[in-house]
Amino acid sequence: MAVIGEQGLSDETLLSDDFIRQLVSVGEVDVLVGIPSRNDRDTIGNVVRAAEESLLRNFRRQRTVLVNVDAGSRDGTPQAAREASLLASNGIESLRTLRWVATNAGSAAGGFGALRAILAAADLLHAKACAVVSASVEGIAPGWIDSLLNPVFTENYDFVAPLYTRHRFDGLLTRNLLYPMGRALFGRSMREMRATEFGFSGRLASDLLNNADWDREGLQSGPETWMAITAMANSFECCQTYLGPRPRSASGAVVDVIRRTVSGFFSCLESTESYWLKGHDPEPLKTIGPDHQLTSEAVRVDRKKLFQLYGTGVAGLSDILRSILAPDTHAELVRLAALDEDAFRFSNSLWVRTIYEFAAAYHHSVIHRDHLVQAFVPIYRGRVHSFLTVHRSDDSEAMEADLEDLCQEFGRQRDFFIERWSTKGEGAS
Amino acid sequence: MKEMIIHAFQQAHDNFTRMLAEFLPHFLLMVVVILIGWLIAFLLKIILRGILRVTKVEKMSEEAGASRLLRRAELPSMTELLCRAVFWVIWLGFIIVGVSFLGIGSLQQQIAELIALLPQIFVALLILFVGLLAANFFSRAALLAGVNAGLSSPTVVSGVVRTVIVFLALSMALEQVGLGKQTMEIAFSIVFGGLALGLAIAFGLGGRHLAARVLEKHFLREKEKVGHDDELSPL
Repeated sequence: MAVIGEQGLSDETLLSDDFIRQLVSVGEVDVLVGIPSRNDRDTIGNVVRAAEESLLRNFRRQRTVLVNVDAGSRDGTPQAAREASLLASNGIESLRTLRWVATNAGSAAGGFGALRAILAAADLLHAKACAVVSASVEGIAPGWIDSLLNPVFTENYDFVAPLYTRHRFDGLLTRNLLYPMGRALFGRSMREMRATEFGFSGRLASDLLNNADWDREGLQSGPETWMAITAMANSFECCQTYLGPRPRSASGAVVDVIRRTVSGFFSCLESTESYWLKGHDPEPLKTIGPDHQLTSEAVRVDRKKLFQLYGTGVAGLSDILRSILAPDTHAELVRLAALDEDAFRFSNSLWVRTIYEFAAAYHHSVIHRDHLVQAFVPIYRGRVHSFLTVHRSDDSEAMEADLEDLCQEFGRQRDFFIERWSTKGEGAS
Repeated sequence: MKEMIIHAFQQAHDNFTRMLAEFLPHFLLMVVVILIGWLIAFLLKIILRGILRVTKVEKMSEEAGASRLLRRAELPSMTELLCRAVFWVIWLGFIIVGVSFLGIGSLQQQIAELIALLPQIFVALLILFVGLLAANFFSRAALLAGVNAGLSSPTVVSGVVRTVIVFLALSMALEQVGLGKQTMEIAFSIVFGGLALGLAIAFGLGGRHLAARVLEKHFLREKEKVGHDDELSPL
């Protein structure tokens, strides 16, 4: 391993000697596409081909590089990526150069280590425009890469968030927490704050590498959210761009996803509090292409199970919730759990208050932070149940109207949150 | 006769005066040592309180759930508890040293034994305290995991985790001070073995339907993976 602090990177940035040799042999580039991967043998081929096609078609006169950072795959993902590469298999070259760089960051590095390596590569190669595309994404088209890179390359944006056409019941944590709360605190309407695909400038990469507190708790669990929030909080130029339909992904381990996402988000609030505590008027975020769209094909969801898990969760975690929430908020959650499933509604007002109290309790570390975020899971399930019931037959316009109400509610209770964040309140004693 | 009585009284008086003359300096020395000990213990308590505030022990204790335990038991905060413990351990040490100046043979032996036991008592208390913290942390982790996984009795699992860890810490603490070493070992073996046997029987007999359902669910899920979502993707 070698330290490349002399290249303007953070002294703690450790990259393998082999990776540095590959980067040095590339020289400087204009465009970089990073593909973090981990056990994605089935999907990485499409991602690599889409990225290469995009670079060869739209950036023929630029120096470009593909960087695959693998986080310790055990299913042959790096080999599958190489085999899928047009460059490797057909010897195709762009007018100037398209290079391929690959490294193994090790399983301990995870998504955080992979993103850090990509940022380091972007900084070292002095890339002007960069995009990160997860190797696990299905249904990717070359147009996605173009859409992420062009705003940076031609319009000098620093961070490009994606927009998708998604199923109306997908991404409910994003829709109910990340987007509205992010909008209320940072004043920007960034819909997909934790997307695995995004674009960024070399400027932003260098700034993050040199100024970020890389050891900060929570950064490891949500590096994508951290990047988006840091860009907004440091007044970098941000925009969002429509990519296309995002295929429905498997739900995965919901508890684990919530732990990582919520913990990463709350941690980012701590690192950027000097920005959002001041209060900022809403600023429009430029949207390139069409706005996001919702589809409504039928999905099977066990709502009864969600309701049961909410009820047993609120009852079973009563002591823990009491230490996190204000007494009246906790009492309201208990009251809801006693209702019939048909009468159960988790109002926007209660949801916002609960989230804000959780975030403040996380900030004050009223209990171990990972335990606190785990205690949020039953609450989320209750909200999802209510969301599905309320919007069962709603069209996208009605859902958007409700989302707007939710955003307004987050804004209305913002002062309450700031007060709670700044002082240890009830339930957090 | 009269002279004999007067002589006896005089001898007794002389003896008493001599003993008092011998005892009084020792007693005064003891009082001085105890007072100095109090002063040193008090100063160290103040210094320790300052250090603990700087090192944010209270925050760590809050995160680990120890503060809640203490509040429930109506005990002072972690910082205060540690400060008081240090104060009393130091002062008690000085009191014991002071008493030893009295020169009472049998008492000195008892004091020597008590002094020899002090570090062990301190370590035992530390083991017990860490054990309680660990019990609280892991039982909460088990409760959260159980609730979020939808287990039917997460509080039972959490309670078992807490009991086992507390019992283990207690047995280690008692062993440290040399109390009922064998008794604790046997008791722990009986309780732990009984628990394992109980769980095995409970799951084997009472839980066979549950086991069948779990297996059925697992294999059915494998078959029906496509298109069946118990929960939607949160992101």
